[in-house]
Amino acid sequence: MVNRSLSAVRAAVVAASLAWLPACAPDVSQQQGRPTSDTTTGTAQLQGTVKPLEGATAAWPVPPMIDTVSSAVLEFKAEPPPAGVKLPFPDAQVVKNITPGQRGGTFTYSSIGEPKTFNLITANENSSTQILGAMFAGLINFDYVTQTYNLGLLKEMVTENGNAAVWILRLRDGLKWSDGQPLTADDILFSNEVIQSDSVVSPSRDVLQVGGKPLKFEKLDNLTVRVTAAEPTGFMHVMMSSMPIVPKHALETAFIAKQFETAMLINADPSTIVCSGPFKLKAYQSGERTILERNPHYYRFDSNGTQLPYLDNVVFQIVPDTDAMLLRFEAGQADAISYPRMQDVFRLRDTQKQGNFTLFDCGPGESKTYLWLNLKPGTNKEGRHYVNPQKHELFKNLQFRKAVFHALNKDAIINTVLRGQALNSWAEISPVLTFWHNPAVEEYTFDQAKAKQILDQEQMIDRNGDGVRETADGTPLSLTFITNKGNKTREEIATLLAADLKEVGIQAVPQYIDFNTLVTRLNDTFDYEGCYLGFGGSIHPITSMNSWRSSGRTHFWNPLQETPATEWEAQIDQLCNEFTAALAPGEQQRIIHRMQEIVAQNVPNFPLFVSKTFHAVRNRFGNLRPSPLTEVFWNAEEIYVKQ
Amino acid sequence: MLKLVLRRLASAIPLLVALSFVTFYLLFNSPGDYLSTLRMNPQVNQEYLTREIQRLGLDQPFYHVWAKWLWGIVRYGNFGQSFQYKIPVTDHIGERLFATLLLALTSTLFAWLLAIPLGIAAAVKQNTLTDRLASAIAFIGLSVPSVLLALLAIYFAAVSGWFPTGGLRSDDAYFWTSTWMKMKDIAWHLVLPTIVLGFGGLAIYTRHMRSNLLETLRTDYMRTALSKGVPYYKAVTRHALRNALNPLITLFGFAFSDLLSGAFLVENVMAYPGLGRTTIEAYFQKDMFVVAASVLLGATMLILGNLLADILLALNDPRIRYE
Repeated sequence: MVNRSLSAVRAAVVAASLAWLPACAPDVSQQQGRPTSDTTTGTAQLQGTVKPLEGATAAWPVPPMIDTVSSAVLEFKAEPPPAGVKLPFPDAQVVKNITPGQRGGTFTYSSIGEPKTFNLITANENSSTQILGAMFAGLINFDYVTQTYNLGLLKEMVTENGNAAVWILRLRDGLKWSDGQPLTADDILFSNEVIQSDSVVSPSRDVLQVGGKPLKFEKLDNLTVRVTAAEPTGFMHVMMSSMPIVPKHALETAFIAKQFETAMLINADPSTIVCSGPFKLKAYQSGERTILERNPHYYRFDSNGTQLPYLDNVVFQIVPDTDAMLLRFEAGQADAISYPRMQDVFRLRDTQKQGNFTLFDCGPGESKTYLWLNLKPGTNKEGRHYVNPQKHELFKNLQFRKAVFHALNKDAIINTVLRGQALNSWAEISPVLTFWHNPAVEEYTFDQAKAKQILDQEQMIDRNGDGVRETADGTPLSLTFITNKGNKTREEIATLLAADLKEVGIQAVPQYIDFNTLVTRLNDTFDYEGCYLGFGGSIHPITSMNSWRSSGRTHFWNPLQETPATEWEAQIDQLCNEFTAALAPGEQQRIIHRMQEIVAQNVPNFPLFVSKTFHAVRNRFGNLRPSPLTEVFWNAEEIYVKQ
Repeated sequence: MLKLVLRRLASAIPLLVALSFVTFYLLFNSPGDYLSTLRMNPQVNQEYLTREIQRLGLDQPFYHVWAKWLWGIVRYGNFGQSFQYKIPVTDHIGERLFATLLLALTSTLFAWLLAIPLGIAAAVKQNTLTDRLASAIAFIGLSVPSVLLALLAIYFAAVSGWFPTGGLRSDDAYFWTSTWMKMKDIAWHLVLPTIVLGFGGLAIYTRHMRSNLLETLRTDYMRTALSKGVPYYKAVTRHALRNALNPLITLFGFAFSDLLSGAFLVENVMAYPGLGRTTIEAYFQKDMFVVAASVLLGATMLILGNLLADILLALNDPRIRYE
C-alpha cells in the first residue's frame, strides 16, 4: 500500500500560509472482537455541528473496528488466499474489497513543492514522502479510510510465546524488488542498521525505539526476523508501519563507503533506484514533474489474479502555488486536486458536471488550530523574562484562561470566515481520529456573561474606565498574540478572536509575523504572549508524545520543562508513560481519552476548530477511496481507469 | 581591449567576495533556519535536530561557514551542497539555469527584434498612424505590470486552450520518441512566457529607439548626407541608426541581469521550471549555499552584461576608446 510507511515522518505542515499540506483489503484477522460502535453512531457523533457540503459526495470517517475489551496486544496473521485466484507465488496478497479493474492509463496529480530526495531513509518532508509512498511498500500498512493497520510485506507479525517484548516478523515468500532481486530478512536488518548508524541522519531512528532503547533485529531465517524491544510494547505495528525498508543489494556499497546520505538523490539515474512499492521511478524532471511507472514485481493482486497496480504511470506535476494547482485541474491537465482552499471548494462543487469530476467531502481533517498563551516561566540568558512576570501570573490563572475560552465565539468564525466548513472542536485530538478522539471532554461554550462573571470574581475589573479590565495589582488584561502572515483566512480569524475578547474587557492584539520569525519565537527565544496557529496532526498518538510530555519540544505552551510545572502536567507525563507501556488497544484508548480530559479541564490552550478536507477527482477513475487524512491517490495501486 | 576585460574581471572578484559575505551574514542573522519547519513537528525529536544541525554546520559562526565555502570554491571549485537536495549546488542550479537562459534568450530576441524595427518605423514616420500604433503598444507595455500580464496570459491560455497554462514541457512529452515533436512542444510552451517577459523590454526599447533616432535624424550630418543625395533608407541605416544605437547598447547591459530577476516573477506565476523558482524556494527554506550561489550568479550576470555592453559600444562607435 501506498504512503503508510511514511506516516511518522510527515513534515510539519504547520498549516502555514504555505498551504503545503497534505484501502485496501485488510487480510488480517485482527478484528475478531466486537466493534466499539457502529457506523451510524460514529458519523452522527462527528456531524455534531457540521454537515457534509450539499452537492458534494460525502466520504466521512467512521470509527475503526477495533476490539477495546480484550486485553491482548494486536497481532497480525494473514488469511489464506481465496480459492480460485491464480497467483504467481502463494504468499502474494489478494486485495478483496476493490472492484477488479483493467490495466492501463495514467493518473496525473499536481502538488506544490518538489521531491527533495528519493532516499526513503533520510526523507523528512511531505513533497518527497508522498511520492516515495507510491514507490516503497511497508512491512505493515495503514489504511487511511478504515484507520486500521494491516499486513503489508509481512505475512505474520506475532509475539514470541505471548511476550510482547519479543516479536516474530515473517515476510511473504516470493517478494521481489523492482529489479527482480528477492526481498528478504537481510533487507530488514540492513535497513535497521542504516537507520541506527551514526553516519546517517534519519527521522526514523527515534521511531524504532522502546523505552529509549533501539529495537534489536535478528535474522532467524531468510524470511523471518526476531525483533526484541527493551520492554513489552503494544505499538510494534505502528513502528513497523513507519519503518523504511530499503534494498541491501543496491545500497550496501554506498553505506559501507559512508555515502548513504547522498545515495538515491534526485539526480540519480532512475534505473538505479530499486524499490518495492506499486510504482518505480521512470524520470524526474527538475521543477517540472516526477514520472512513475508500474513495478512489474509488486506483490498485490486483485481477485481476478491481475497484478496491481492497474495504472501504467503516475505523474506528479510540480506547481508553484495553489492557484496553479487549481488551474491545472480545471484546465484538465491534472486528474485530481487534494485540499482545495475553502474559497475554491464552492466553485469546484458547482463545476463538477462540466469538469466531469466529483468533489468529495471527507469531513473534518487532522489539521487543528489553537490559540494558546505562553506559560513559560523564567528568563532567557540575558536575564529578560520570556513573559512579563505580572502577565505570566495572569496567564497562569486557570479562571482567566477559562474566561478567555468562554469569550470566543467559535461558531461565528466557522459560519462566516470558514463558510460552515469546519467543526467546532474541544479535544486535543481531532475527531477524525475516531479511535483516539475523546468526544466527551469539557466544553467551554460561547458565553460572554459567564466570561465576565468569572473575571469579576477574580477581581479583574475595569478600574480606569478604558474598556480593559485590570487585575487587583493593576495589570491590564491585555496581550499580543502572534500568527503567521500571508494567510488571509488566518488573519481574518485572528481579527475576530481579538474582537471577541474585547467584548469581555480583554485587549488582544493580533500580530502577523513571518513564518520563520514565528518559529524562532515559539521554539527558541520564547518571547511572545500568545499564539494562534494550525498544526497538522499525526495519525497515531504514539508519534506525538513530544507534544504531550512537559519535557517535549512541541509542548508549546511551556516546552522543555525540567520538572513538570503543574500537578496536572505531572499527571499527563505519568499517563504518557502508562500509554507507551499499554499493550491492548482498548487500554491505550482509555489513557489517551483521559489525557484529553485532563488537558480540557486545565485549558493550557484553546482548541478552536478542525477544517473539513475535500478532494476532487475525475469521474473516469475507479476504486477511489478518499480519506480526510491524506492525499487522494494514497491507494494509487488500486485506482484504475474505467472503460 | 583585452586589458579592459582583464581589469574589469579582476575588479569584480573583491565585489563578489564582499557580496557573498553580506549574503551569509544576512542569512545567518535573519530569523529561522533550514530546520524551522521541522522544529514545529511534534514527530521530530531533539536528537534528530541536533544531528542535522551538526551535519549542516549550522552550529558554527557565519564567517566560518562563509570562509569554508569560499575556500571550497577557490580550492576545489565546489559551491557546496544544497541542504534540501543534498546534491551539489552547481548541479542543482545548472539544471534550472538552462531553462532560465532559454527563456531569457527567447524573450531578449522577441524584445529586440521587434523593438528596433518598431522604434525605427515610429521615428521615420513620426506622427503617422504607424507611430501612434507603435507608441500605443509601448505605453501598454510600460504601464501593465508583468504580474498582471502573466495572469492575463494564463487566463487566456486556460480559456482558449491554445496554449499550456504553464511549464516547459507536456506530461506526455517524455514518452515521445521524435525530437522534432519534443522541440515543438517546448516552443509551444515558450510562447506565452516569452511574450510576458519580453513585453516590458519591448516597450522600453521601442521608446528609446524612437527618441534616439528622432534626435539623430535632426542632426546636421543627416541633413548633409541627405542633401548630398544619399538615399533616405541608406542615410537612416548607415548614419542615423548607428549613432542612435549607443544608449540602447548600454541598456542591453543592464537588461541582461534584469532578465534573471524579471524571470523570477514570471517563472513563479507561470510555473516555469527556471532558476528564479529554485532561488525563491531556497530562500524560503534557507538553503544557504543555493541562495549564495544564486546571488553570485546574478551579480556575475550583471558584471558580464555591463562588460559586454562596453565592448559592443566600442565596436559600434569608433570614438569610444577604453585605453
